[in-house]
Parts: sequence; structure tokens; C-alpha cells
Amino acid sequence: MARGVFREYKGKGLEEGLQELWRELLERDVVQAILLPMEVEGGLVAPGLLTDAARIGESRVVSPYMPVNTARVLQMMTKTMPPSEKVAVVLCPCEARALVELVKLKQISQENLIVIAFDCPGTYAVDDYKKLLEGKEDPGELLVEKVNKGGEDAQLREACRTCPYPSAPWADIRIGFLGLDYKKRFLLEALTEKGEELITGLGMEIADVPLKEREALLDKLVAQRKKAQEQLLKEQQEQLKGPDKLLAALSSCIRCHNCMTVCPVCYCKECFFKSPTFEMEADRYLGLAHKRGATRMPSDMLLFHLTRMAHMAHACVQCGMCEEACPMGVPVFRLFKATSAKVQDLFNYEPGKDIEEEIPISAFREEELDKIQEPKI
Amino acid sequence: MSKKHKVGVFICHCGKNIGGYINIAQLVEMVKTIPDVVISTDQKYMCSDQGQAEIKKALQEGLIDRVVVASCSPTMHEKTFRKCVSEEDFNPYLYQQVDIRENCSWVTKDIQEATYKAYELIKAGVSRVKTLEPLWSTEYPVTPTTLVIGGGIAGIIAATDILEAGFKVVLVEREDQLGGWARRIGKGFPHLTPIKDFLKEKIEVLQSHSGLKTYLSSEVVGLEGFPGNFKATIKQADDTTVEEEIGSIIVATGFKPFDARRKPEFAYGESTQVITTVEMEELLEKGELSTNGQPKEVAFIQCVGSRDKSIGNEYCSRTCCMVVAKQALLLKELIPDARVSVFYMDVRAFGKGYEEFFEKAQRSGVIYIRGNPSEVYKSGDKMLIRYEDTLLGRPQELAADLVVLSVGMEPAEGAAELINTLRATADKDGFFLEAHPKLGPLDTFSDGLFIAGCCQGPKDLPDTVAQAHGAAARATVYFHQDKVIKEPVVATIDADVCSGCGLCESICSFDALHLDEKKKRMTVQEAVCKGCGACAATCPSGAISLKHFRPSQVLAWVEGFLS
Repeated sequence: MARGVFREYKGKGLEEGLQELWRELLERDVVQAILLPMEVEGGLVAPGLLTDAARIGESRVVSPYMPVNTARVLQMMTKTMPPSEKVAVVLCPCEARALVELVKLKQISQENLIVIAFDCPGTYAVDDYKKLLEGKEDPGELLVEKVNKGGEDAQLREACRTCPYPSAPWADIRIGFLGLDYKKRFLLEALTEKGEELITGLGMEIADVPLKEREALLDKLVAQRKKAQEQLLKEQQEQLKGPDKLLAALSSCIRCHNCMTVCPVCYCKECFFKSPTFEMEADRYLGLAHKRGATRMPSDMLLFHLTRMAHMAHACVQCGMCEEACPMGVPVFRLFKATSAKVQDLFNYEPGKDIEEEIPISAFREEELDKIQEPKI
Repeated sequence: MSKKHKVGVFICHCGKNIGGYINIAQLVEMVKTIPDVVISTDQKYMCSDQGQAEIKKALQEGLIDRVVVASCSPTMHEKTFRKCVSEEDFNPYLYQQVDIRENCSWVTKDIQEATYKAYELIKAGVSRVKTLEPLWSTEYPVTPTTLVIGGGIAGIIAATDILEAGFKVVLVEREDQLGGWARRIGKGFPHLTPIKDFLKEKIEVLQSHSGLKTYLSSEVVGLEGFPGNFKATIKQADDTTVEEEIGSIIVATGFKPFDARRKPEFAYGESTQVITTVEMEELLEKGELSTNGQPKEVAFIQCVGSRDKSIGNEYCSRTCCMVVAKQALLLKELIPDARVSVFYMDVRAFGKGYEEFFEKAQRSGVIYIRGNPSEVYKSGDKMLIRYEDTLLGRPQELAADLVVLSVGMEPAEGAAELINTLRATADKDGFFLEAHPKLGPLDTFSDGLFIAGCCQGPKDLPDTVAQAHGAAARATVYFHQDKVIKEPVVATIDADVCSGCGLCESICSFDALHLDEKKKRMTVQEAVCKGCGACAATCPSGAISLKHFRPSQVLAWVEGFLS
């Protein structure tokens, strides 16, 4: 059961059905702008801020490709000052989850934002997606159909194949097309007051909608993904356990900081690793060399990854953007996935799940961390 | 390239404390080899006039620009040496203390190992001292008014002292009159003098002072600011709030008696023949007992709600032994043929005249039974007490007309909320925690906040009154100085690096950090900051550092060990 409404769009594709919704939002002046995936030159997709209804045909929400985590864009857009007009932001679940974390860290202002999270069956890496674009049929619609039939695409990014959030745990509005008669209609589900206002602003009435089939399909999909996730964690344990294996995995790192730049929850204005703290005098490098006989240069590669892990593990939404951005094939996603799984389990914290929940390091609880405490006598 | 420093290292023997366990002559020579050390020397006692004179002489002659004293823990003498160097117009924050006593000589058996360890500690200290920067303390004006929370005996005494010293007092009492628990006590032990007369006189003296402002039926609900300059929010009976500017605070909120219903086996609340010592006090005071059926068999049960792990109060309530001795004695005087028994674990008669008083109670015919009562239940018109006589090691029963439960003390109602409001700390039992059990019994971990009486833990009247006098003296120290001096070791923010995420604000225990919502940057209220460094450790961007403990200064310390 959910609070919401179905939107019918018989005879058109899902993308077109969604485009009608965007058009109506702008034309009825429910919002004055929409931030959503749009087609860019060459057929790829990137987040675009849309204000003119005439350009709605360029929107590509169903497109199974994620170039950046849009939460990062929202930080850029709203941190200094929130927008003065209403903006609907259309996000996939891992983007919405990153947004929740950034709101908690005061990096995104919710003022005048309406968060719309759509069902995400998964996304492809850029090269795979480019190949799929050469095909006749729309890769997005194909994937939705496949997943709706209970299938899974082995070509999806590893982050997506192991993602237990095909539907976002928090948003103002959820758009659902998994487990539904998606060729005829999709679901608009209101999770907050803002969400309800948006639906009523469209002249639609909110009701209790039964979602048995949808729930069954999502449960099955989540179970499948969780199984894949367990498998991955197990493999990771084998492949990366111990300092030697860890160093071997990181050995190709060229310290380009791409993983940090694209990480949606890595929010510092200036990274500590780009600060003068690491501008050392030659003699200090020489000191290191003298101590060990030789030292790898630059010397802060391992510290960089460990520090990022210490800072981000509790908030990591496991979107895998870090690994997509790595030019050297460092298994950054696997490292983060495994570490965050443990850290988040320890604090009983699911990033992105609840916008009101406190971040573990800023919350004090008398009873916590019992898993790493010495047994009480 | 950093400029070359000239470091003077002064090594202390501390008599035999260090000298007996470390080869000082050898250490002095080793330290001379540390880069940039220009003086390495030793003294029997560095803290003595002679020792300090040597440091001053080196500074006067311009031989050194950094000072290291290797001696005891900084807690002991850091202040001494900072003062010593500042007397030579040398910035005290260019001084580094190295602890080679508590951290070394006292805990290391082998003299060679200890000598080497002391050398390593000094080497690290020298590496750090070279990175230190001069810092200056700040002075703030003071509002010479003390907020006294609680109008019981502790609050009354403390407030009176402060008023008599010529300062002002804002007194907040939750009830509609002053006096607290002392109002409910008849005669005091061991002299059996009426408490009420003494209390009445104290209240009159208090109220004769013009500098007193009293809020009855009121509670403190908010506190902001910093020592010398607090602003307290007081909620009055009609739910309106007022703000008062104050310089220091004394908490004297007392206790609440243990609720005997939490020991259901003693049938309190089920039978009118089971009462508590609080009710007994009232009966004795009103003289209602002898006309009210004249109980012939009275049994007191000690330690109800104290020294009892099963209900979570492991502590002794310290007053109950004497309260029972007093009540039993008065009972015997009132009804001479009554049989009065006391069940006890052991009798704690620690105060002046208490042991003698206890003996007096025994001689009056009160029967002390060393035993653990397990159950009290109705049997006919009597109450039966089932107990184990721990001297005989046998289960026994005793019939009584009246059972008196000697209830202990617990933190006052609302203590937890008040501790939160005042940003104080609770001890494991929920009482206010003192800064140090021996050396800071009236201080808390929050500067300007002091405690007196039972809010800190159970105590009798003499101790409470003594604490109240002490707290009054502590709370007015700033007022005599006319200013508060704030040490400069505080957090500082690099606004260009701060992301304004607010993590540091959420973990600051002192409310010293506030986000500038417009600029999206954190700000430090330096007067409130205690320099704990938790914020600096939390900030992922490294935008906060603690002055005197900047990353470079800490790293230099570590590198000093590793070099």
C-alpha cells in the first residue's frame, strides 16, 4: 500500500510518458525548473537544468547510464544559496541517497527543491552504453522490460548488480515502473508533504494504492541483488584481505584524485590531500628514504585512500562512481563497498534511508559499538 | 626554510624521584647531541628558586629562544614554568614540558632503559618546541553575580556567604518556599538540637541582604555564555521565562529519598504498618506517634535503596545509620517499654561524635540485629520480618507493629535534565560529577560551575554546610579578580577550508562552535572553547586546528620520536 496516484500514458513509450509529466509540471507552474538527465551531443546523457518546456524532448530519465552522481551537482548548485524558484530534481536511488547524506552535512539546501526519485533497474559503464546505443532499440526500455520480467543483465555495472535499492528509501516523490503495468502507466508516490503538494498541484487526487505485484517484484529483485552483494563481499575478502593484497590492489593508483572528485559524499571544499600539509620539504622525503632505504613517490597514496575511507565509509551510498572515474583500474568500488558494509553495520546506519537520522559520528548513544567492545564483566 | 632555533633543555632530578632511576649525567650528555639544543643542564629541583633562576639567566643572556624542562607531569608544574619564563618577558607558549617522572622514572625499572626513554621523550619535546608559536591569553570582564540553584540548606549558606562578600546572588528554588529537606528534619544528630530554629535564622540572615533576587516555584531551563559572563534562562511558575546575567553558578539541588516501592518485598505502600524514615521523622516531629496506637514493637530496616546492586544503587547513603540511631533513640524516649530493633549490615558512624551517639542509642536499649531482611508481610495484626541473622547464619522471623524502612538518597527529580542544561557531567549514579574526587570536590568540568551538598552525592548536614561555604568561595574567585583570564589554547578555523558541514558543532561538548548560516562557515566562541580538540579531530577537511596543538606541531612531536 502506498499514498499516491497512477499516471496513464497508453500507446507511448515510458520516456514519453515521463516527458508528459515534466511538461505538465512546468506548464502548470508547479515548478519553474527541473534538474534531470538529458541527452547531450553524441547521444550520451548528463544532468541538465531545464526551464523551457520546448526542450523536454531531450530528457532521458529511463536511460540506463549515470555519468555523475547528481547529488554532487546539487551541492554545487544549492550550497551557497538555495534557488529562489521551485526546482524538481529527478534522481535515481543512489543519487537520492547521496542527497540525503549531503543534506545532513548542510551541503545541499532542501529549500525550494522537490526530490523525485525514479525506479532504477541499473546502469551501464560508459563504453558498454555507447555500444548499446548503436543498437536499434532503446536500451533503457529494454532493460526495464527485462527486469520487470524478473531478469537481470550481467552487463550492468557491478555497483548496480549488487545494489539493494532499485527504489529509493527516501524522496519527496517516488516514480515507480517496476512491478507495474509500465507500458500503460507509472506510479507517483508521495512520501512527504512536499510530494503530496506536487501531486495535488497537477490536479490529481492522492489515494491509497495497492501495490502487491510491485512489492513482490521489488522483494525478489532486492533479494537477488543482496545475494550478488554477499557474493561480492566474499570475493572481496579473498582478493583484498591483508596489507599485501591491499597494497597490490592500490599499486596502480596514480594519485589523480578522480575518485575523490566524483564521490558524491566526499564534500570538503579543499581536500586535506591538496593542502599545504602535504607540501613537504625535500629533506623530509629524504628522511623517509633513509629510514626505509627507498620510498615510493609521491608518498601519500595509501594514506589518501585510507583517509577517504575513514571519512566516507559511514556515508558511502555505493554508487560506484569512484571506480568508473579511475583511469588505472583500481578496485575502488570494491574496497569501499566492503569497508562501508562493515562500518555501516557496526553503527546500524543506512546512508540515505532517513533524512532525520543523525550521522553516526555526530550522534552519541550510551549503548553502541558493542560489536567491537570488550565483553562486559 | 624554517629558522634555526636555540633550545635550552633543563633536566630535573626531582630529588631521587628522577635522579634515583635515571642516569642524569649521561642523559645531559645525550641531550647535547640533539640538533639545535644549545644548553643541556640539570638541577636537583628545577622548580626551586635556584632551578628557575638558571632558566631565567639563560633567557636574560639571550642564549636560547625555546625552553624545555624535563621533569614531572605538566599537570604538576607546567604553570610554574610558564610563569617563570613569562617573568623574563618570554612567551609562555614557547615553553615545552617533558614528563620524565610519571611517564618514565616512576614506571621504568632498568636504569639504562629509563635513561634512553627519557632521552627519546626529550628529543620529541625538542622537535615539538621548535614548531611552537607565541600565544596570548585574553581577559574578559565579569558579572559579579552568582546563580544559586536550589534553596535548601546548601543554597542558603552559599548565597549568604556570597552576599556577605559584597556580590549579588540570583537564587532559584523549585518549591514555593526556601529550606529544602532541612525543613522536614526535626532534631539533628548527634546533638539533638532542633534544625528548624537554625534554618529559620539562616533564612532571615539571607533575606536581609539587598543583593539577593529570589525566584520561587522556578527552574533554570537554559544556560549560555562563558565563565564570568553567563546568561541563564529561568522558567517561573506561570511558565514565563526571564533571563539573568550571571558570572558563576552553584548547583545545590539536593536529593530525593529512595522510593521504597521499588523494593516490593518490604510491602511499603501495601500496609500502613510499613513507613519510611522520612515519614517517621514527621511523626516524631508532630508528636503523633505515641497517641497513634503506641507501637510496642518497632523494627528499622537499614540500607533500603542503598548498597543494593539489585536496584542499581551500589553506594552508601551515608546519613541513614545516624538517622535511624536518632529516630530509634527518640522512640525509646517516647515509648520506654517499646522494643526497638534495627536490622543492619554494618553501622557507619564516621562523623564527629557519631560513634558516641550510636553507642548512646545502643545503651538506651535499641537492639541492633546484624541481618538481611528478605521479606516483610502481614500476619494477623502484626508485620512479620523474615531475615537471615548473619552472625548466627540462620533464617529468623521477627514480628513488629511498625516497620520503618531506612531509605537512602537518590539524585533529585530532574537532576539529569539540569545536568544537561548546565552541560555538567553525571556520575554513574546520576549525581553531579565533581572535577576531582579529592582535589576538586566542589568544581565541575565546566568552568564557573560549582556544586555543593547532596546534588554531588549523599552527605550529612555538616558536610553539606562545609561544601556550601567552600563553593561560595570558589564561585567568587573570578569576582575578586574582576576579570576572567582565558588561556589561548583554543580551536581556530580556516574559513577558506571550512565546508560548513556542522559535524564539529554537533560534537562540541561546550557549545563553543556555531555555524554562520550566511557564510556557511563555522565560528569559534573562544571564551567558551576549552581546547579539548575534539572538533579538530572530527573535521574531515582539516579546517579546524587547536592552537598549540596544530597538526604540524603534533607531527613534529611524533617525528621527534621517530628521528
